[in-house]
Amino acid sequence: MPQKHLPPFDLEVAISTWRQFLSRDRAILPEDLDELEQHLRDEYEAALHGGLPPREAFDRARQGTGNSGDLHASYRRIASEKRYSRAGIGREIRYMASLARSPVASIINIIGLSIAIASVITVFRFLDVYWTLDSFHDRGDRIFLVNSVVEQNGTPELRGTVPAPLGPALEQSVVQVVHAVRVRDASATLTVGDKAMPERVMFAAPSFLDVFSFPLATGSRQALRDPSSVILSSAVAVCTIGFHARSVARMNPAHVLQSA
Amino acid sequence: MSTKSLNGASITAIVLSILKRGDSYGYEIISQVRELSGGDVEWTAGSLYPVLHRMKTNGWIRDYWHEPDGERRRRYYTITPAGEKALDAERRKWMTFHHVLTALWEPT
Repeated sequence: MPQKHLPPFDLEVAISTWRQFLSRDRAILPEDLDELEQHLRDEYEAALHGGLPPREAFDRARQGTGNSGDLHASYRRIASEKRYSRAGIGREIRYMASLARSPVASIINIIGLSIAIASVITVFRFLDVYWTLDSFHDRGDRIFLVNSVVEQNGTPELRGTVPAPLGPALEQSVVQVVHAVRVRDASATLTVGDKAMPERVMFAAPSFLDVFSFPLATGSRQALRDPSSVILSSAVAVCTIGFHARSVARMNPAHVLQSA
Repeated sequence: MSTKSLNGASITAIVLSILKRGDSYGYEIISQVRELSGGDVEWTAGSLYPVLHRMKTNGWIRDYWHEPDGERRRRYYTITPAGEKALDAERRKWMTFHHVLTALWEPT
């Protein structure tokens, strides 16, 4: 080995370099470093005794003490064992320790997972509403909303309203149409005794309850034939006349009762 | 470690026995084992110090720092009463092995 190109060997420099390299791993405590350094020095002395020149003796001593990779691994294992053997909790502590050991990776992981989970939950909530909204109607697959396309300033617009005579005309002239239900939303003031409250109401054709599945808690569907009768939702009924439906699976304005 | 198959169980018994004879430190323990085995068993620092830590956690040994005058401080290990009890258990285990094997290897 061409020795003349190398700087003169300095034991203390070599040792402090070696120590610096090892101290990079937080698992090796300063006192462990002291212990390992002393071990290294003992090995060095023994190699010198054996007749080796200083530089080779130091290399031999470094090999004998173990390469930094193995030492790091061993001490890291000790550190995690020590930590959760004292706590006695086990897996949770080990997990928290691994979080602390690589905080950046852990944060990235946790944020990514959170976003993924939140996205999936949002998508499923949307799908759930999309699939279940108004799906309770028995005849739902045969119920259609008639829209109209109105051209305004050259652009066609889709509207949910149609001219009033269209309903009866469809019923009469198109065989496939069993019922044409006309409805109209309006607001009104509901007065019961001395209670008065504003309500959203709907004027509906008599066949409304035949087409849509809104079961009655009490009363008869024929009420719709009488223009002066009213069908209340059980929620409104409870508030106004103190009615309590015997069994209400869903507090949903679709459950109505007739008040005579 | 050259005799890898004797890991774990044998290290504990050997280390406890050495410490029972007298307090010692890492490098000395390794040297003694090398001597006793005629060079066959050569432990590395990376394999011994973790075992020492584990035995410390079990309460079988204690460590202290000793500073001989003028020299650098060194970490010594000493056996505890719990360690002596563990050593007795190990000893009985190994003697059982020894009896079984010597009986089996008896020339018929």
